[in-house]
Amino acid sequence: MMRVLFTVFASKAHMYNVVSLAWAMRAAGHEVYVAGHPDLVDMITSTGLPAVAVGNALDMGGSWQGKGTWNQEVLSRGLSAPHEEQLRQGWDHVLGEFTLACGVRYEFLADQSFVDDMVKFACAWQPDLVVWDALTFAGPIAAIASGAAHARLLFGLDYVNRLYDDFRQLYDRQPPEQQDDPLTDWFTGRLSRIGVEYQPSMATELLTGQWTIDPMPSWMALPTKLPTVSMRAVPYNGPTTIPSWVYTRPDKPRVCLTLGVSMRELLGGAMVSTGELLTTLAELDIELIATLDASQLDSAKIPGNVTVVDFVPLNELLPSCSAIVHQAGFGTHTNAVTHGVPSIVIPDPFWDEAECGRLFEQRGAGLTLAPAEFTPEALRTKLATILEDPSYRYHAGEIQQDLLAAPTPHDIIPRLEELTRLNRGRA
Amino acid sequence: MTRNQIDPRLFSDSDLARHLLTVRGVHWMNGDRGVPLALLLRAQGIDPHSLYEAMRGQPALRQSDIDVWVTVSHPAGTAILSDRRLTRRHARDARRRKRIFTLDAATTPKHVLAVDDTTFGLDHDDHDRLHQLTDPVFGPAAVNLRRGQVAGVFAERAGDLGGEFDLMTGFARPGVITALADLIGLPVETRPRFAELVMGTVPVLDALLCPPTLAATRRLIASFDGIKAMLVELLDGRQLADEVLRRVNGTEQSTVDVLSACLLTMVVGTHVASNLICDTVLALHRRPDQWDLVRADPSLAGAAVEETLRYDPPVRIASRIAGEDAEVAGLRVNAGDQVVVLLDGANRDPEVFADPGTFRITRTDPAAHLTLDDLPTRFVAPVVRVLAAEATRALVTGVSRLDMAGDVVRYMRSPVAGSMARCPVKAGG
Repeated sequence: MMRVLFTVFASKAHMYNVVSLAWAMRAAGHEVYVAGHPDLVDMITSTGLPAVAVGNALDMGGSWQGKGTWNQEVLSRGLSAPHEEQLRQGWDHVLGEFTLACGVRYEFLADQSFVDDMVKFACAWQPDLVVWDALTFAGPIAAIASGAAHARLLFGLDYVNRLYDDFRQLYDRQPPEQQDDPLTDWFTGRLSRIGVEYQPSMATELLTGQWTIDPMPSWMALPTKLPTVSMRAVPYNGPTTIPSWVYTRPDKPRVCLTLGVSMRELLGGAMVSTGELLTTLAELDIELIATLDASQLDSAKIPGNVTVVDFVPLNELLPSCSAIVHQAGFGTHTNAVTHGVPSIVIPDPFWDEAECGRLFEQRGAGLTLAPAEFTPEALRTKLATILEDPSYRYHAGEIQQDLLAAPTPHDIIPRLEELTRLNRGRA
Repeated sequence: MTRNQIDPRLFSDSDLARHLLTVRGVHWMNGDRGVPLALLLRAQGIDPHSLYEAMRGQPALRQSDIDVWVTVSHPAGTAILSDRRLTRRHARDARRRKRIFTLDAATTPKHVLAVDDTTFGLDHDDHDRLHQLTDPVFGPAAVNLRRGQVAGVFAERAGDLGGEFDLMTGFARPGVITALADLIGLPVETRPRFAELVMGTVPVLDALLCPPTLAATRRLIASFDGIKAMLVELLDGRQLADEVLRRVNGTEQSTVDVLSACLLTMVVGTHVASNLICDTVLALHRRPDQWDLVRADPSLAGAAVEETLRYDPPVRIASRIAGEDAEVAGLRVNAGDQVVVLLDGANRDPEVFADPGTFRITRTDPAAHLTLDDLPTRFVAPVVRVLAAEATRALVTGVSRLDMAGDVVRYMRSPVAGSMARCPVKAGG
């Protein structure tokens, strides 16, 4: 029996991403704890897993904006641009991204008190393996301090590693006097706190783990030389009671509309009203299930073939759907692929949403609608296209098969046990 | 001193790294939002002059952050630099315990590092005292008397030049170090050690506003402390020039002041003068008509240096802290606020200089540049002027033509000094 410590910063999407693997570990007989910010603890315990509170409340939703700073841009921003565009900006771009990462973003997501508490807990509990969310960089430090093996769990395309590859290449091309490297300072500072002297040879593992667990379907994943264990993403949607209408077969094609941040901003602005959006989509001969909360709904009139709900368990709803409109968040697009449902992607700006939309479109399993080009009519037209042309359903079935062919969290446990044996005490 | 201007000696690697990274990250983030001062301080892939056009006109003083003010106006800059209420440290903050800058700090990052407060934290009154005490050694008249000796140092170096050489590492810096060592009477056997240590102090002016890397910070402090220890020992052993030792008049204050004067001269003087020499020669190289003017009349070397101080200065940003609530350039500034003069911008203020973007050594504008008017650099101005003029004269008369033999490389994170690392050139003709 191993002790496995998962760690993730206080974000629902990132927490949900660890649940299936954590339970697979548990079902295999291992002891599993999840360490996160105090404001994640209720969410952790609601999944049935034991929680360890570390650091101070993160408050992703609030206070940073209040101070006129950066909540929206804290995660990625510069990394969601097309790779060619990033490469065109060269050294200034990659240096800027890591300068922001080490000084602001990664530092915000797992700050000193978070790292200190995790180190303290890990040294006391002595885990064999630390599995860390790819943006929760307290994980490798706690693993090194406690002698555990450590693996990084991705939540999307591996932009961190791609950026690091670009960084190293461009770094080598700078004259020595211009070779700026914020990562060295960041790692030096963090390791010195646990009494370890940083060596440049440690950088890759500190940034990408001793190995990577990758839930992205292999046809979507970026090329990598890192030791990687592929895993099928098994969606977890949160505590759910299934409403009875979900499993009655609809008379008309059922379409699920779920809003990302981009869409919510569009609807909140002067450009598009919720009522207009619903009316326009309802002109199609469909049954529309729209997830909207009361504030988004405002005083909009709801057409007869539209059902408005404030939460839908996608995993349970999608088997009866003919199409889904979504923002390409990791949990959402995994649900769509798992059930072979064609997508209209209106991408969020945070991480790989636009790229995922492009990949779905490339495989013929969906269409993308850029937020800048969004109108209710444009969405209705694209929706009509994927409902009328059966090739979208067919290709969505193909990428579904690709996904189902990957080993489940249960299947990879023996490999993780082996890698833990090989790496424990090595860091 | 501001609340987050820390002495690196007092902080662990963990805290110091966090401080440096956070300030730099916040500069980068604000730069991405288009804040000009942040773009300047992050000093990566930006031509400062591309930002200044939009900052001209009224109001002369612009609010960069809640408690940070910036100007590119020459009249406003002049007023700020001589305003005795605007100091190097805020009295209230100087007494408080310093804290590293962190993401939850309820303030803006202003001054970043305190390398040596007794040398770089000097205020108007301290400087007046320092000037008075050491004027017979470092004042304009005193250094002017040594012009011939300085000229000899650079003439000898220029005479050895031929083919490819590095303007910075093969001419300017070694010449400056020799001339300054002669000036204070640094014993010959200590000079190689000084030359090695002073290389570690390259970021000394930048570190006030732009965080160096962790390693560069530690090296800066170790090198500065090494030089300081060396000078203390030489002062104690009465092994420096008589003129310098004579300024120590038995009081503790005079010993401290003479040490500060020597440190400013040897550390700040080395870097400001070396960069100024290289940038003067490069400016002349880019404008062959101006090069020919100096070659025809070497007494114009001083004018070429003054025009470089205006056009491409070795000190580009001056920063002060308001010691009390004050009206500055017509605006209300609160005690503790930071007031920044973008010297290179003010030096090209079209309200004051005709055709400000052109390098012309025969200028007759009534106004002068502001480059050497900030507090720590004001002290080294006389010696820097003499060194740069004599080095330029020696090079331009000794080498009829200069060609570039590679790219000029400047150090990263050097928004204040624009410190040159290498400048490969070839002597022609």
